Amino acid sequence: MRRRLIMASVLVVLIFAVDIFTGGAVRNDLRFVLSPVMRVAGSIWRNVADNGYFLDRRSLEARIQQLQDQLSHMQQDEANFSVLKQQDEQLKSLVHLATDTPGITAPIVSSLHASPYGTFLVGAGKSDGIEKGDLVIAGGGFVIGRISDVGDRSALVTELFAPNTSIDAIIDNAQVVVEGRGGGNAHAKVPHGITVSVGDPVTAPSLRGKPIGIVGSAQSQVTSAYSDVYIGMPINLQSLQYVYIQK
Amino acid sequence: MRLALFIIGLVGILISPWITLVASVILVVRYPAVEVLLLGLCVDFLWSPATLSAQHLPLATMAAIIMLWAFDPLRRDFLIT
Repeated sequence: MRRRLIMASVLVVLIFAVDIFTGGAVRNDLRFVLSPVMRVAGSIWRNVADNGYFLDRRSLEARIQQLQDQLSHMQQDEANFSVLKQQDEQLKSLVHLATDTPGITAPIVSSLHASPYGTFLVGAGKSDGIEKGDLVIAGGGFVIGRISDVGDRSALVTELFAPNTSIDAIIDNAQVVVEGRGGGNAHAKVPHGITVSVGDPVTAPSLRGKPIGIVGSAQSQVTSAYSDVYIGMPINLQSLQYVYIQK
Repeated sequence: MRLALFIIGLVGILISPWITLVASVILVVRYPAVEVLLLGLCVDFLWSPATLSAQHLPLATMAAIIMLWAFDPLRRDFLIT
């Protein structure tokens, strides 16, 4: 029995090593095979959920979702205005640098809940000209992730706010380090001298100054030199069906 | 039962990692379930980029190997099937 465990463990390590040395060939094949399965599974799940069996609960959930979407839209509009104002000021001084950036729209083919690593799959890959490191943008112009692995017809996106990730960002002209918490949420520590208010846009210089979220709440403690700032997306990531991939 | 748990674990990979984790724990506690390694490998292959960096460690595969070996003495002493 123990020999079987040893052999299985060694085999798994070997498969992993082969995949790494072939640049992810095994995992790309697996994703290629599972992409249609995930689409079908998602469609079945939606049909089961919509068949009326869970109607009372679902009608309440739908109402809550509708209100949350409404709130998200309002927050998004407010954040967009602030972002546009900020961008307008920057563009006035940098108008000669403005260039068109090509990209494509791609469908999200996996659930955003499914990955333990803050990743999801999109239905576009090398054949569509997608490359590792491309920016993934949601409606409203907010960057939600980067392409971290590319297959022929699918690509893996790592969310910007995936757990255990960090990115340099700017809140109210102050540079901070934003730490991802997963689910489109992040946390940053801001020195007390800087005034941060709910709804302030958060931009990332490393992503060409694009917005990555808005301030959801800011808590300051007298005993600490920093305020805890919680950052979120003004869009409901779970409701996203398409993203724009900027090359 | 063992096959059902394995299938639940596989389906969980597409829905939520918690389903896969619970199925895997039950499998390794109850059986000498080498298939848990396959579940861990699938989670990493599907959801993690093909790089070996500190940010992208194959945590699911590592957890599967650790669980399989850690529960082995317990199974031998108390859950002989």
